[in-house]
Parts: sequence; structure tokens; C-alpha cells
Amino acid sequence: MATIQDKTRALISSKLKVAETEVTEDKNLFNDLGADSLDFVELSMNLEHEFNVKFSEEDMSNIKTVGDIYALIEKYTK
Amino acid sequence: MNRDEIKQYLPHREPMLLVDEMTLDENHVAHSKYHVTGEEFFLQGHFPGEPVVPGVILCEIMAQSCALLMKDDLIGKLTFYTGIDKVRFKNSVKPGDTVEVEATLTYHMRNIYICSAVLSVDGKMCVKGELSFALLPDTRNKQ
Repeated sequence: MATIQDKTRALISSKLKVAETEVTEDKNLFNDLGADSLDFVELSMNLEHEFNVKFSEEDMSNIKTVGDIYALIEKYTK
Repeated sequence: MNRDEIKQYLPHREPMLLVDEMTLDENHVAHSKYHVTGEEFFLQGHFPGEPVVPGVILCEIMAQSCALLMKDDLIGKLTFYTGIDKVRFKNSVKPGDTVEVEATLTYHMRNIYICSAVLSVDGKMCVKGELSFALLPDTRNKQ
């Protein structure tokens, strides 16, 4: 069964057109994985849809790395 | 909302103001219209003897309709395209046609807005797509 991290990694890989092996916890979405502001907002939308959650703007303003996203989703899906 | 009222929200002006009227329904869906008179600059040369509204102009008509969805956020801002996605052109638009656009806000985060739009003439779909925008400060009159 796919974990939160598996699903999130797959979404990031698909949205940013990078290999899943590149999507590691320490990677910065913008500097390392090449996301721009629209990618980031679309990723937020896709994650909300996938996990049936609703992020606040404050949540998203604190996101920098893949690990930050894992932590945010785990917080919402506990 | 008529053309004069639309100008209170959209910064576009002739010849690039491409919405004649707009209403917002109770589900926050924008319904707008633009009548193609045949005198528009973009029909000159596109194509000689067979005028057809260029696809990019149809996208712009949809974009302006989408922008009106966020009219209350537009004051002091300019809208800039950040992306167009899944755009499909199904039928052409010609002089004399009245274009109707139905636009819906799909998602909003920070200053980015993602919308879906369908453009039709006489009930026949001509274009559909997903458009996204950034609202940035309008600094035109500030020194």
C-alpha cells in the first residue's frame, strides 16, 4: 500500500517533471527541483485533492522542502 | 455589468478590451459576451477574404472573462498570465458571431488564480481550457 510519502513523491515527480529518485526529503522545491510559483500552487491543489485536505496560505508559505510537505500532510491526515 | 462598469475592474482598453458584458451567477460562475463586429484589428490579414478570430485572441477573451471572476481583488492590480493548459480549439469564430464565455475559479492560493473557461458561439463550443494568472501590483501611476 502506498504511503503518504510515496503518493506525495509521485505527485511532485509528475508535476515538476523530475525523477522520483530526485524527490528526497532534503530537496528544496524551488532551488533543487525547479518549481516556479505556478508549479507550487498547482502542486498544492493536487495534494489537497489527493489527500482530501485544505491547506491555508500560512501552511504553504512555510513550505520549502519535500520534507516540509511530508510533515504538513502528516499533520492534516493524522 | 456593462462595458463601462467592466472598465472599473479590468485595466484593458480599446482595442484590447474584449468583454462587452458580464454577469456573475449565484455559483460564482462568470458569464460574459463579446460581439465580433468584423472591424477588429486582429481580423486584418487573418485571413484575407476569410476573416477568422485568431486563437490567441479567443484565449485573451477567456482570460478577461476569468479576470472578472476575481474583480474584487483586481483593484490596484494587473493580471498577468502564468499559464494556459489543456486548451482545445473546436470551432472557429467569425465576424458577426457573439462569443459567450463561461468561466469558473478552480483554485486560488496566494496571488495565483487558476480558472477553467469554455467559449461558445450559439451554444456550440469553440474553445475550452484552463488558464492561470498572477495578480501583481499596478505601479503605472506611481513614481
